[in-house]
Amino acid sequence: MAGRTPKCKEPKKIFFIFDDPSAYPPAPSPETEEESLIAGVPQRPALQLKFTGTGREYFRIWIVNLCLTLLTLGIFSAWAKVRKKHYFYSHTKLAGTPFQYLGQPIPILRGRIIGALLFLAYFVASHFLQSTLPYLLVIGLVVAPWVVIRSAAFNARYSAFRNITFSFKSDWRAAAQTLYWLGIIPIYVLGAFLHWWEKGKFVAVATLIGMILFPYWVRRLKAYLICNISYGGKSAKFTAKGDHFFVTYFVAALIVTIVGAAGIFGTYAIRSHYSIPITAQSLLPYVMIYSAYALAYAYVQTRITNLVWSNTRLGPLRFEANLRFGEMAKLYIVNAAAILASAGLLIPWAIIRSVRYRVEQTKVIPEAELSEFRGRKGAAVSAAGAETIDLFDMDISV
Amino acid sequence: MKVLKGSYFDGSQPLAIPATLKLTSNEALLVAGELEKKFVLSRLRVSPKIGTAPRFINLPGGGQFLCRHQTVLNKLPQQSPTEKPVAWLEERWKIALACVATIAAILVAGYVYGLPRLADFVVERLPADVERQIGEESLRLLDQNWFERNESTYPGEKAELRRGFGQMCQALPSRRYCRIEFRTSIGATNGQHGLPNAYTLPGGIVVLKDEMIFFSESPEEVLAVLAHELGHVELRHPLKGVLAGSIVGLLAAVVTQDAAAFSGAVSGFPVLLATTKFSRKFEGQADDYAFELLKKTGHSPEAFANIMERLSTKYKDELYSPSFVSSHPMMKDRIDRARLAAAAGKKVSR
Repeated sequence: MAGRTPKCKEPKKIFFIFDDPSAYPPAPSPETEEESLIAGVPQRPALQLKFTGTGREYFRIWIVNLCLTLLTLGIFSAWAKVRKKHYFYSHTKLAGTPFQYLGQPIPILRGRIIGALLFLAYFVASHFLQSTLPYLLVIGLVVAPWVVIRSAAFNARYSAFRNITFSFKSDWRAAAQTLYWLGIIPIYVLGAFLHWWEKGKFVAVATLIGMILFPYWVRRLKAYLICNISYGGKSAKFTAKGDHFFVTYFVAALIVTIVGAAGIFGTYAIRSHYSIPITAQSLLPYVMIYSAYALAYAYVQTRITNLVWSNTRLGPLRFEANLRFGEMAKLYIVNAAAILASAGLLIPWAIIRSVRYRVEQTKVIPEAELSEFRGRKGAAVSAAGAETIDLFDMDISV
Repeated sequence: MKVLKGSYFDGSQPLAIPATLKLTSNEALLVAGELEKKFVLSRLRVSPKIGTAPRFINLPGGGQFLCRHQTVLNKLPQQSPTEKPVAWLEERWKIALACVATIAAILVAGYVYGLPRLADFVVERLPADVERQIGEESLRLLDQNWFERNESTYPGEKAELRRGFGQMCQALPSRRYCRIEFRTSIGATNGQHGLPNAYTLPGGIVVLKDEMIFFSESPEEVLAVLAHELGHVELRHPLKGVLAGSIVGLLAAVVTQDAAAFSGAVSGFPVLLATTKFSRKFEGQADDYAFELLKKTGHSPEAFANIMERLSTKYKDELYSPSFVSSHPMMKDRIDRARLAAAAGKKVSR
């Protein structure tokens, strides 16, 4: 049975919360070990990864499921989610074999009901009982790591390739250590509790530290989510460095600043030289702010996706993603414009072309035979036996 | 007998083994490489049909067989038989068009008829003291973040406004609780720097900013603004607005959920359109209510027109937003309506 030994190379010593050795670039030792094993093996060709879904077909699936969801006051949404996920998994084919989504609607419905109750509690508290909000935040803080684990486990467990399911194993402490790295989020919440956010100094220091550490936090989260995944007895490894994440977010911030500033000054300049309709005048800043946001978002998505895939290994498999910033920005902007212009009817088309681009820019390169993976035949969670679900199996993610 | 060609996955290794599955009336024979296995037909389970997506036959014992013969697969026992009707619906363009029409009808009818009634229904059943508590809570939050209290400014005017406000409050048919609070923007000395404005919180709490007193030319003008706010109180707009806005947001999230990854604009823009439309309706109602209230308590809507006119010239840039995303009706219309109401009042009194 896999999963007994800790798969992730994140150290488990909780004594080092404030001087955590894993904050430094991970030692490359496991890689060299693996490389020496495959030394001398000729480079194998990448496995073909293809997406075969079409906008026309997905439109019908999307609209029928949306309609049924509205008609059933949201209850059908769990079935809709399963069918839509199923569609995307089945049309993503690696070496000719489609992926499989094995999730069942009932646990998703259960997750959604719990999610809806949590949202309702938050809604009531934030609008009507603001004084209870801090307590709610603390409860959220305790529950969040558990939600992260359950959702990751659900998604992994009900994803399969060639009759072998993925798995995700972790515990609350490991999740909390990742999410609450250096205690940043708990301090923020404590700040809300003790009114620290009303003090300028705290806001300045907390925001600055938060901004600097955010990319490193994202790296830890990605590492946590990837390292605990396993497939066919092999666990995934993640070697990306935090500094690369930092550079990505730094450039994104620059994009926002430059495009945003150009937008604001540009508007003023145009206003003082030409007379343009007041509607256009007041809309222009919004358009510029949206463009800045879209560009930065596309940039982050491009860089982080490439970084994550190219630094992930799963047993004998290496990955490579080659998304391009220009293409991604074009995708986002054309999608948003098409969706707005079509009153939402082009949402399925937009999703299909985005997924196709992402899938087809990703490469899976085997460095040894796939037979290195070993499934657990007859184990409780084989692809066919996915109907067995325990009470806390749920998917809260949207 | 049918012979299906496809791939077999035994679950022990991620390898695709070319295989055939021979189907007789009650048995299935799998031949995959050297493996030969017989299964009872009724124990096979086919994964759900979703468009042209490939489907698997789950075999007893944990193996899987992948093939493309959709018509044969449809006749075998299904893993999830309840999904069959959904697959049938998803295949038809006519159904898809009917769905577009249904969704549009649900959204339009829900927005035009359902939402106001739902908001009325919920708000009317909410006890008055709960609503009041919500209002007090909001005021506390506003005081913490935006406003400060300065009783020493304009003491004479404030006493007079309190009297006038109390008088109008008495005239509300519902005999609702109402109270006036004076505030100013933090750092705006004597209310000379912030934007003149007034707010209605749930539970009948009206917040008037000192800036409005500073800006007005007569107490009559401020009373006209207060009458507008009392219209919101009487019609319980603050709570209804929160409710309606939240429901719109939730619906937009459901409809655009899949596209949310692209940008907030996709779901944000429709929500903005829908909620500002609502807000404009509330403001129009509050105006109409105010004009009646003013006339009933011996004031004239003319004062409302006057102060609005000056506000719209002085704060032209600050107040401007395109009509379709504005939270308030266009100033010019509001002023015209006030003048019309004032003129109508005179005719009747003569």
